[in-house]
Amino acid sequence: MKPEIRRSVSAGLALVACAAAILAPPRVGRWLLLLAGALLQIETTARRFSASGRVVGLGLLALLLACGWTLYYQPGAPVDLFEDGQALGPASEYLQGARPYLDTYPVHGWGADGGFDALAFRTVGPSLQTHRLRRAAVTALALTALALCAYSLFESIRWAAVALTASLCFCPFVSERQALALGALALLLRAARREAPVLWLWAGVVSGAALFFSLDFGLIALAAGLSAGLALWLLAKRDEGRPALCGALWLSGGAALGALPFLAILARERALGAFFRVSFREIPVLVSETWGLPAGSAALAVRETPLWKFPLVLATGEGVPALFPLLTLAAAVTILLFRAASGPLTSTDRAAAVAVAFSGVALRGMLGRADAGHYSLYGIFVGLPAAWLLYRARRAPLVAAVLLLGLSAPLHPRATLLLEWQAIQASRPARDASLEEGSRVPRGGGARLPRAQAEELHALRRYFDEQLSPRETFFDFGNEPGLYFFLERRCPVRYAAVPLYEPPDRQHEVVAALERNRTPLAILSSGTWLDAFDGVSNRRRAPLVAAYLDVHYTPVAVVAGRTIGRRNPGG
Amino acid sequence: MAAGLRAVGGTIGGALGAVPLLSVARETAGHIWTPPGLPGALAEARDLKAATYLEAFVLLFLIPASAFFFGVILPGWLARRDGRGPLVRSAPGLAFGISFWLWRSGLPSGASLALASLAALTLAAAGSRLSLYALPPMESREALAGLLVRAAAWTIACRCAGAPRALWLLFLACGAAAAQARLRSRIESWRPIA
Repeated sequence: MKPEIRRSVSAGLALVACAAAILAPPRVGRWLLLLAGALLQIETTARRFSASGRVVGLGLLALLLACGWTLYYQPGAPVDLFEDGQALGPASEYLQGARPYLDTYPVHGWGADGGFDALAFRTVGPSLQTHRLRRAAVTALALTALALCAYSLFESIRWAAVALTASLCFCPFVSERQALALGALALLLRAARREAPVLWLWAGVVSGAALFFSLDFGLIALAAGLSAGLALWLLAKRDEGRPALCGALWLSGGAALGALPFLAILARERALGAFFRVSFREIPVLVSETWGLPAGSAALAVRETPLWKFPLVLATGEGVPALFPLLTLAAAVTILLFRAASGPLTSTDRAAAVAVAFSGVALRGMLGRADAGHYSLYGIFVGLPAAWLLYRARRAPLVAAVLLLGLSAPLHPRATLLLEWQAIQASRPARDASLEEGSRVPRGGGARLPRAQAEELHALRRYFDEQLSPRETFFDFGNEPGLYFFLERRCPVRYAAVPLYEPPDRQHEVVAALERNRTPLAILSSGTWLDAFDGVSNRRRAPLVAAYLDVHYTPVAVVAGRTIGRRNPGG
Repeated sequence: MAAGLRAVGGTIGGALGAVPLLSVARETAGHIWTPPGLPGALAEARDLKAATYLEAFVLLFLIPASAFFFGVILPGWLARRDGRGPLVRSAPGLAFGISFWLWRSGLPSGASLALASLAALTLAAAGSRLSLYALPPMESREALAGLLVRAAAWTIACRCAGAPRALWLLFLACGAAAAQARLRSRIESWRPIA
């Protein structure tokens, strides 16, 4: 075996051993870490360390997958009855024969809002544990896909590490909803680098499928891929002597292929029209109006801030948190324009064009609901153009130093890496402790919940089982769709939360459903912050429904903080 | 690399000069769209999401486009028109950059952009005919000195009148002086030496 190959294999094995050490019980893990250390020690002390190639890459990916798994698999963590409930509630509905988009309203996407969980429930059984295993696996894959994106941009492990760090600075903990979009981005970056039609096609397939998993991320992948593909095609056509590959066409074909199975299922369920109406007409308008948060005014920030204070505003995000990513992207677009004007783009520049397009389109999500969570969720892509700016400045030390300083101030790379390291270290003890101290809940499977939350769910379950026959259900006006899952009742309306039925016609639809079903009980308020998203109460958001509940339901009990109303006799 | 360095002034000026478009975007959105009618944080704050998206459009497309125009396209055109001096090629971009300063000084965004565009246009028109860094022949130097003295006098006079109005008058003076110089047709003889 050639020394280079042998070293690559050893390094890859060492990384896989590290990955296994993270997952294995501490006693075994220590031996595995020792083995990994020994392997790495042997190789690094070799005269010339030249470990590279696919083996090392695969070893690194295994390591990241293990890190992702240990971070995101927490079977004893508390359940968020709103966030997790948006997947658990509809998944439970699908098990009972609900049709997507007709009987449910998947605002994040069919797969993310219960579709994928329903599939897992059918395979493994409906439980919180199944949901957590499924989510941890997809989120760990998202982290791995992010690393693949970072590598695909530069095809250099060193620069991939820079890009991955920059991306994690924007979003220290990835979300499962990003998984397919990150996969599509990795393929797009590679396609742009290598100008390979088959890669454009595969990127399209993944983007098309992403539409049905996470609608917004699927749209980001498609819009960014098409615009970048078109721009690169025009540039390639301009530069003489180079074949012009229209990536956008291949991407479109791939997207059609990727979407086809899902469209066929929807057509079988007679939900095709509802899918297009809900996904492309209703949700974009509704989400912006009812879920939007002010993003601040860039004009005001730039005009009113004293120039000396401007770097501080950029670093802290005071007033306009999105200003820093916007300026980073503006700089990247300008440099790309300059490079395109000076001749054919290099392969890294072509990939950077894709990364910039992706980040630019994703800004819509960041600016839409402008809070810290969505800044991370959609800002993750900006890390790649930020790393590319550093890459471009690498031959001008002064510019690179200034840029590094400018990027480090708002991104805090050292603090982010420390946070990741501490989170990975703490995840296993936290998991063990939460499992030991937690309590079982109905439909929990092997998962546990903190004792207080488990007691709440038990109390609610007891009350509803006493008051309702197995075929009856209740209506939740407290934005906790997860309760339908834990109490094993069907949701009488297709909306998971109040902001989704704010338009008067939808409030009428909810009232009509309540009138038709005559649900004996209703949760009038949850007694938590969920009663007033963004400081606007459910009663103000849906006054017609609130008025109907006032007239037809009388508060009869407060169980686990929830105010429960009983339908008036003859009402 | 040298060409790149020469373009820096124009690029920075072009980028900064387009920043007042942020205000234009916000005002335009205010004229076209209305705040959301459904209850939510946006309606509470009377915030216009369209204005935010338009601002993002300005930052992502118009500012880089302006930087590219003043950093690459215009300098290239001026170079083809025999404007060999680097300042001639950067001058329109730098002049356009003044709109940022005007805007921050309190001038409305439209006015600051119009003034800076006028200044950039004037300098580009003049620059296409002469090189400010090149020494003109003796008889033309006298005319150039006259122009500069007049511009300086205008500047001092305008400074006394207050900042925004002063710049208004300065640009007016520059434009008039350049037009006058052109009318005298001596400008044709200001060819760069070397």
